[in-house]
Amino acid sequence: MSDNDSVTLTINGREVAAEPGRLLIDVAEELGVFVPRFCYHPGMKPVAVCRMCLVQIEGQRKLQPACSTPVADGMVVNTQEAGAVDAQEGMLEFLLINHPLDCPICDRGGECPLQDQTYKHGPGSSRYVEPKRTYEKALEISDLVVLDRERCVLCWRCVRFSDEIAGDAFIQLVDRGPGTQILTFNDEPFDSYFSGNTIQICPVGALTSKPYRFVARPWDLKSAPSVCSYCSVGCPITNESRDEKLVRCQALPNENVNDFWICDKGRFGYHYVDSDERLTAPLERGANDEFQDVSWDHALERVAAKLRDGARVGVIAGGHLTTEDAWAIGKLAKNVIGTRDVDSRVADAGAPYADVMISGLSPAAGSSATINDLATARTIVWMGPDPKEALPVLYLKLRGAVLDHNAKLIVVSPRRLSLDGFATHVVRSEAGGEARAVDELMSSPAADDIGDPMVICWGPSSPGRDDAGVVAALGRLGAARDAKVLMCPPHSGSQGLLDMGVHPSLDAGHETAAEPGRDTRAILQAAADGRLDVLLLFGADVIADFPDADLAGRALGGGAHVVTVELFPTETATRSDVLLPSAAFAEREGTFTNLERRIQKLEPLLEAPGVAREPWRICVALARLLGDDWGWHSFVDVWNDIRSNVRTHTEVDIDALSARGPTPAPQYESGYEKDPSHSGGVVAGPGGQYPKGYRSGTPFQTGQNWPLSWELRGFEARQRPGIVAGTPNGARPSPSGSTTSTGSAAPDGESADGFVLYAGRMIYDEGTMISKSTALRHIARRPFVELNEEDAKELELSEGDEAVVRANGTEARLEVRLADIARGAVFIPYDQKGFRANTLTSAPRVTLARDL
Amino acid sequence: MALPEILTGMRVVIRNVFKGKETMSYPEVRRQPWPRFKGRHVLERHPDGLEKCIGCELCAGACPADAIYVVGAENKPGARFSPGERYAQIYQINYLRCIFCGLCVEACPTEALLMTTEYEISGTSRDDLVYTKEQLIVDAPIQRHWDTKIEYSPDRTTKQKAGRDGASS
Repeated sequence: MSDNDSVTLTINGREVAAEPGRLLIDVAEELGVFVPRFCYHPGMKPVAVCRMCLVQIEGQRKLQPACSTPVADGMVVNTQEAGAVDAQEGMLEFLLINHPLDCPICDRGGECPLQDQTYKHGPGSSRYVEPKRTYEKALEISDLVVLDRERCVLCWRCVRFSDEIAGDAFIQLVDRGPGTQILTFNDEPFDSYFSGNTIQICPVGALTSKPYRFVARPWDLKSAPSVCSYCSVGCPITNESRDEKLVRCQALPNENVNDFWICDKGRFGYHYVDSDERLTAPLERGANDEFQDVSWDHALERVAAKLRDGARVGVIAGGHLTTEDAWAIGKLAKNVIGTRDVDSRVADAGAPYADVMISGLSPAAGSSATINDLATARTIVWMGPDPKEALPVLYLKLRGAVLDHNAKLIVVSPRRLSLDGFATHVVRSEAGGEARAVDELMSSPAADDIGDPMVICWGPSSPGRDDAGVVAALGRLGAARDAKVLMCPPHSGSQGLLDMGVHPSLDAGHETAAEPGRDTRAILQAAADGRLDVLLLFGADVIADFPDADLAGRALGGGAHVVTVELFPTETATRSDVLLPSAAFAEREGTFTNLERRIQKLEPLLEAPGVAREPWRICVALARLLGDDWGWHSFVDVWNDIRSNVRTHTEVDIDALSARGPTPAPQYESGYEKDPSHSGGVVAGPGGQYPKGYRSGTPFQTGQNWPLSWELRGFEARQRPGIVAGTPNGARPSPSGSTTSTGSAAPDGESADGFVLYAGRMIYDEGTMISKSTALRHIARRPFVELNEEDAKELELSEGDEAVVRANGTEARLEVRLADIARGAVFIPYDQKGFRANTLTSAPRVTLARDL
Repeated sequence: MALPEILTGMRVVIRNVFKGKETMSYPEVRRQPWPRFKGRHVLERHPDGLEKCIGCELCAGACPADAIYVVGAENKPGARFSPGERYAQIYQINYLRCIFCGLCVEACPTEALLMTTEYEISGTSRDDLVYTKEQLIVDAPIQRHWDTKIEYSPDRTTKQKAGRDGASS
């Protein structure tokens, strides 16, 4: 017998204790008994439609699907007795009736759950001789996904994912009976930001990736675990390469971060790594204003010469640097060069991250909540950018928290966000009045749904908005009930840069600096005024990303010696004096710190092009030339230094970052070997039938070199959970209502003219990295301006018109879209086709007029 | 007595004196290998002229010497190379690595890859010995370094005049 929180059952003669309510298929898998399956996926609710996982349970008249049967006390289960084995063989024979045998050209071939499970559990031959059902092959159902309905085994995984997880039910089972097929509605494209996940979970080759189509076979691929380099959610991925080219990124599961999912930007946005435009050697501006290739020694010596002798230096770091780079940059700037003018906020310039600590929301300038706290929260307050566009996988987590875990979601925003569809309360704030809306939350109808535990999600919404006021208001809201905060900076490296003190008023470990330095805006202003000698830009494309393109342009022309560490010759880089090539995320060992301050490791897969180096190595070399030898030669050296100097990171065990957890399923690690009891010791391979052991060592026989499908590998990398960085204890800054003003534009006065400008990121844009993606760069939309209907009426604008948007003497012609947005506010997306919003975002207000 | 042994030995000697020479003046005269000799590969075509190879890389996967390199691509309406969706954009066999085991031919699902009896594979540079698809496709002439005037059948009973592509028949 067993106690309340555990039941005891017997699976294939082995007794096992399990939590009540768990599914039989999971419990068996942990025991090492693999029950074949197609429709079951641990990230989704079971439906038991494929009938592949039928098992025998003593006392039950019929076979039961293990994927939807909860374990019960005293249950005696058998997965290998004649009845269950017959069912498995029968199901596979049925599935293969209509499945075309075009495995040789199928992108799934070689890592296909249907192939693998047929070898392992299938009948060996088919009795079916009639013609197969046929459909038109290779239907392109979106710019990214190709559908082959013939291969589909109707497991519903894609349908369930789209509906349950993503909420974009663009793909559905249509028709009935033998004609049942997967299709989109009315030939509308499968335009989901998460469509790539259906490719990965498809247990056959029915949904395949268009960018990866026929690029490689699974056994060609080298792969290394890594972390997505785009947004700050930091989804773990595998990078896979063929012939030293990155050809595929797939999601790795981490139940703390992304469950099993990544967005299409992370999945298909990798092409920039292999772009021909990458910088491969240090460049120096020579005599005729032309760049010349120079050696590292020469380039670094030139930079060091400029940095010596009390030069006035400003350092700006971009958001895609790793934690190690961040530590090296902070150390170089503060300890070696001796400047406090260092900042890592470019697109999010002026975002009051430090205020999150000062207002008492969190003990660090970062999250105090984890992403999974969303699922256990009673109330979630969202006060940030549109998560579906900016932090897509966090959107999935928020959606799951509300729909599956009954959290109450309160969205405060002046414009409609993707969350509004399932939010419990939507508070539409006035233009520029978000802080007031937060203050009034407790007296609004939403107050009834505010309870503990509460998670406040905040991210900088738009340059020039009163984020400091918002954070202060959230601080007041949170202080009343000890809420946790999930702070959402924009980029993969943003939080790591804050943790490492690449910030004018913070030191590493979230210590407040005695004398704050200049922030990005002030550094650029100083450079523009000729008050800086050297401007060091680490992956910071200030002309494209800084909210005031004009100021950035003047800063580069202000006479300072500009040194840029970059992947690409961006506009900023081509205007600098020395250009140093950097290694990209797939080419290096490193860590990203995500928005919940989880540190996850990148493993190197490729060689950096030419002589490109990691930015931290550049810092090491510069420091040495400036007379300070740090003695770092490897990733481990950097971390030893971080651990002994950063109070929040002393406990980080970097070996644990790459450690693999327990791998389940010893039984099926060996791949193809069929159970000898009913296979006669013969293994079928594509070359025919060979006795077992013959030709051992070639992939067909042993499964050693052969990439098994994820199902059979038991979702191997549930393994790398990452480590959440510590929070500073002890001297916690006292909560105070006052906030520091960090360069944000003045709050809007009542008398100001024009519209309050909100600018935000859309998932696909013309950013430096994503615009190199052959898959995604065509998807970026035309630029538009979102406007309230009433406002539009007054201006005599209607949907689709072209409006002239003016700010600070610049103007742009943008297509008008009527939207649910507060009166007096307009929304403009960043970096859409042919238009950079940061030419307009320098002013807090813009005027609109009809294009005449 | 040793006489019987001597006579036995002399019988062998005398028989071989009249037997004719086993050596031949290669490359002017040469012998065809047996039909199942495993020589260099060809990529077959269908009767309608489309390539049989679909670029599936199973040959490359089966190759124990890692001698085969294939990159697939998609047939487009204007540029069709093979039936179906996929064809081999790049197909290379590195004859410096190939051990002529024939596993690639066995693995080929479309019988596109066959082995000829051609054994003259030599070159003066490494690059020469990486055969491309253009060299391997069946209608590409098999390059011989020297002219052969006479060719014998494998059992050396029939003599025939050899053309330049005599070996592939």
